[in-house]
Amino acid sequence: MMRFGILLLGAALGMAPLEGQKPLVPALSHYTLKNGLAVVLSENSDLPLVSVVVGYSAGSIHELPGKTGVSYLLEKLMMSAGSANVAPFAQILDINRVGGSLNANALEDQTLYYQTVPSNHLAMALWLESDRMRMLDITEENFEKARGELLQELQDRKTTESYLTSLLAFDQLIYSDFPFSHSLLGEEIDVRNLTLEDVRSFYEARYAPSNAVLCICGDFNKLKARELVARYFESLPAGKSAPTAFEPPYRIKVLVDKTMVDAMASAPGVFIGFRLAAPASEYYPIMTLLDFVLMRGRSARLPRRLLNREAKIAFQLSGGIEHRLNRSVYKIFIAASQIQIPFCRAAVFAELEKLKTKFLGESEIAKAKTLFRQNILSRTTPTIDRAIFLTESYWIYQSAGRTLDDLGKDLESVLRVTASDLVGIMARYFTLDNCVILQVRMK
Amino acid sequence: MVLLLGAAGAVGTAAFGQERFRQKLPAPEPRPELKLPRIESMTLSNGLQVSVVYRESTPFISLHLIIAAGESVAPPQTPGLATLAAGMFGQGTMLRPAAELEEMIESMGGTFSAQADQDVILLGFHFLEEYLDPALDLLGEMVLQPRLGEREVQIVRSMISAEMSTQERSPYFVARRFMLRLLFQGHPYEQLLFSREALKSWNVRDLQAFWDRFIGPNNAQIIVTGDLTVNTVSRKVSHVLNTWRPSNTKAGILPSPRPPALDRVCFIEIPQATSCAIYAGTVLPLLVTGERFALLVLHQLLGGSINSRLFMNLRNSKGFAYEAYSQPEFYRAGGVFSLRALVRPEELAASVRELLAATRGLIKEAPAQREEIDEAKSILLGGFPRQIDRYDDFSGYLASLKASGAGDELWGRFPELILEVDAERILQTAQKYLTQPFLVVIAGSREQCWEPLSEFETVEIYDAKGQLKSTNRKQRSP
Repeated sequence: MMRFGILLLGAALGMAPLEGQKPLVPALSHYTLKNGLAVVLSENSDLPLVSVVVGYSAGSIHELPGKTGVSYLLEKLMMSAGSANVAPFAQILDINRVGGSLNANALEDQTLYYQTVPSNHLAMALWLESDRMRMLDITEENFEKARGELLQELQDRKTTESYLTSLLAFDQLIYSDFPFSHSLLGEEIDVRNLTLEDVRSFYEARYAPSNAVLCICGDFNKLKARELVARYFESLPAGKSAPTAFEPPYRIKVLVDKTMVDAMASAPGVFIGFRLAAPASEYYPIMTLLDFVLMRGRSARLPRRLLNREAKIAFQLSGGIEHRLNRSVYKIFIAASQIQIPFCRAAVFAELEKLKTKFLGESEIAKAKTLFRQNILSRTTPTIDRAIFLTESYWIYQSAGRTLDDLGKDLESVLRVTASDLVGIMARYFTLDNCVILQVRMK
Repeated sequence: MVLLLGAAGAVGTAAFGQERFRQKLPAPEPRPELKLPRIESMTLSNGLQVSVVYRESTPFISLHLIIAAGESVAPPQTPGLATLAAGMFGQGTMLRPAAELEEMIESMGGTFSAQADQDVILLGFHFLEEYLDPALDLLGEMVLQPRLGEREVQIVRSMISAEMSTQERSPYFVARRFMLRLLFQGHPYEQLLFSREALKSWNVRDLQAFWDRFIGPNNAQIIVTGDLTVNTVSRKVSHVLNTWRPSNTKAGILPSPRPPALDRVCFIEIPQATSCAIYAGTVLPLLVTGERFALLVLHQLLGGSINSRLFMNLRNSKGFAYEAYSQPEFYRAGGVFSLRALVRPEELAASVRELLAATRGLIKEAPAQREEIDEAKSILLGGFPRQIDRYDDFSGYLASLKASGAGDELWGRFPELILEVDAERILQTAQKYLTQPFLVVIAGSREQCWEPLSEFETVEIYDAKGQLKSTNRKQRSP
């Protein structure tokens, strides 16, 4: 559930890629159908593959109190229920039969459905997605089955997944307002109380062309793809405009430092978090680079300090920037022995303090920028990864009233961040009055 | 009322979803051609083979160094030595410690991995294209000036031990490993299946001897994928590795492993396991190209996906298993054809019977039908580009072909060789290899599996360490 995106928005500086380097984002085009469906196309004919992703602005942040879990339950239904012209599970079999693959990913602010097929089967992928976009067959039977699976998953994960309970408790503290802080899995009592009508209402409200983006990447002819998109999607009704306004993000203002017992903790742990600038903020490119300085790679500041071979003081370290629509936070999680936890906490704050008071050396900044480039290029080179990246990016830009036209320029702006930018961002956001700590004890 | 709508459609008209064109699966376009770039190769003066695959649009360079120094050539008294040697590549060099090495690799936007299997040590190094020269310099340093010290041996020992400890919680892992150990008993491939106890025998002296004996350019090949030519790469590689001294020994050709003498069923206990895994396998000799591809198609229709016979039968139809698949593996001296399933414990015996019956049924009762063969080929042909879409998968696939001893002619001919397979060839392959005895290994907890095991005629019972404890025979009613 932790989603550490490096998606960012910043001031579009209008600059070209650095000389000699391939652009971070490949060429793309986009348009919108009359029914509101956003379409993003990005061609690449290296291999005869095409990936189709449909992203819906439908996640746990859109759930109402007492109805948590409906978004995730609907994802299960989308993968198993039939639709007007497609039998139950037929999508999985049809895609597999041609050597394709498919999956879905439910996130707090969106749900993605994706498949990769040989490029001569693009029409099939679009047919399948269009059929379930407005014509999913939600029945009492398949709803109950999906509910049963979700309840089982809730139970399984709570009894097998280390730190899940404490992670969810930490989310309550660091996000604090209901839409963003509750669990994507839902509360058991809410899931048990969900009705068929609840699920149908959520589907009607959120699974509509006006609330979706269709992304096609890979080996296809643009003109032909546009014709197919029109054929399968243009006649779908737009759907009602789904409300998406959320409170703007706000600082915590006072240190939150709590302790809890987690029955599934395999070792003592500590979560440390800070609220950050919204993805639309001018500070976000700087935050993005800071993440690579602090956390990404074995030679980044925190792994080097806590996991180094000479004196490994932590068993586990993870974290980074996490965003849920217009909220971003920085999370750090450490598992260590009871005696080492205070040292780990102190080590984290010591590293943060260094970054506030000393400019980073050129070589460390250069390394962070290289890792950032490598990360983005890794995410935009394979067909399916590129399609998912563009789909996820679309929603962030859309929520800020912007378009993907700025994506390339915004990514390039990370490569222009300076040492003094980094010191400034540390002083602004990594302060004790903007900090949440949750210490985890074993049972 | 069904409205016929053309391609443009009409927004908001009645009866969306009932347009006639939506009512059936759209027909595909003609199958697209898969064009793979050529491999160009040269051999340097010190014997190192250099191959380059040109890929224009990728911003990365992938480099694989394959050294014919797998576990099959490790001394029997120190199994795992190839794994230790592979692990040493990331432990620093005589010029810099491991932490500095890691930092340099990350500074190139790079990742590095090293592992050993039964045939080779395989190093993988991927980095941003603008760092080709420093990456090659670093690779040269790792190969020519490794840090083979006591401390580094201990670090690798700890890492491998921790990894094995985690893997040993998986019934699938335990079942497969034990199956391979028994299948390869008495063959050099058995040395890959070393236990955690074996790690204690690792020492610097034996490691150095293994290194001198096998790690050399005359026993190695390097494959580079990127926006490069073979001349450029050869020149740069030669500059960095021209002082790499040939190893004392070049890996030879191993005999093919022998199939089991008869069907056997074995149980290996995993305390507290929550699921029950079956692995059933038989060995393969070194296959000619035609047989290899016939076996791939056979595997696909038998157990390659959720559309295949095993999955549809054991899971969808009978409800015995959560999943059931087959898998061929090709090594330099042969290979393995295996079946695997994760089953409900009460259906253990029935699952084993169904797995073997479904497999052998291809020969007589239910030979492969035209429609199935076409679907299997469609899945293989359609799925192949996905396997090589990522830059590291692309070069990794080529590296695995070369590591298994397959010639360059298989690269780029995948579609053609799949299309050549027909029902007769599948039947011949099935008759030749699937009539062989199978070794069946069941892994799970004693609590779950003990009673179902009594349904087998004979079961060998092994403890968690793989020691034979007893052989149970079915009680016959008087």
